[in-house]
Amino acid sequence: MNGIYYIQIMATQIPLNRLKLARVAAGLTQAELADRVGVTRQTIGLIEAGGYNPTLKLCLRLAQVTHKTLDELFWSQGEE
Amino acid sequence: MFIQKTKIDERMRSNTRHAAAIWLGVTQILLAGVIFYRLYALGQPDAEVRDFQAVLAISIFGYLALQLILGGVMPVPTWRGAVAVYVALTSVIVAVCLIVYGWPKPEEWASTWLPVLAGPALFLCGYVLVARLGQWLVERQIERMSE
Repeated sequence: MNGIYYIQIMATQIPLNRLKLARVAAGLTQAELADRVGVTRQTIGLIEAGGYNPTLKLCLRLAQVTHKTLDELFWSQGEE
Repeated sequence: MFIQKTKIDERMRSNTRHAAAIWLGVTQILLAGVIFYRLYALGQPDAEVRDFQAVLAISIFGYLALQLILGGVMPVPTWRGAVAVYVALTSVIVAVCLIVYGWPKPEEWASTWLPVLAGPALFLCGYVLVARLGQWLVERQIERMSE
């Protein structure tokens, strides 16, 4: 629209994940996984609990370490 | 070892930025509180709080300018839009000043009409320049990374 501008605050929806299942399947503890991807154990705990929205870079690293694809690890609400 | 090495990951960096932004806001509010307290509770003259006012203005406008530059997505008004905003902004300021102070004497026009008319224009020019600079920087970054 000409001359009218909107400031849109984008919803920060945290993606759902199967990180815990993938981590257990890979035989790793939270601390071990955290060490391998270069974050803290608390960050892994929060991602598993759905309390932190990781960057794409971290998602890719998690998928690589747990031998899963991004699709298998993360998805958004309403998408199964 | 007495001190355990802490790993700084992306979540901690994000939290640090969040905390800094919140605390910047708190600091600005406290500074504004100090200015009001000195002016209206202690009755100090305006000249004695000029330094606080300058720091507060630099802090607020510097923050907004940085947001515009780093974000690069803030709306840049068209010329017609900018003129409309200028007219609206100036009308509100003029109306409020006339109600509070009344019509100024001709010898006071340089210190009354001039800042009221030039202030919003300078503010809008600054906004447009900074917003355009932000957009240009982001577009240039995209071009450079796509090469």
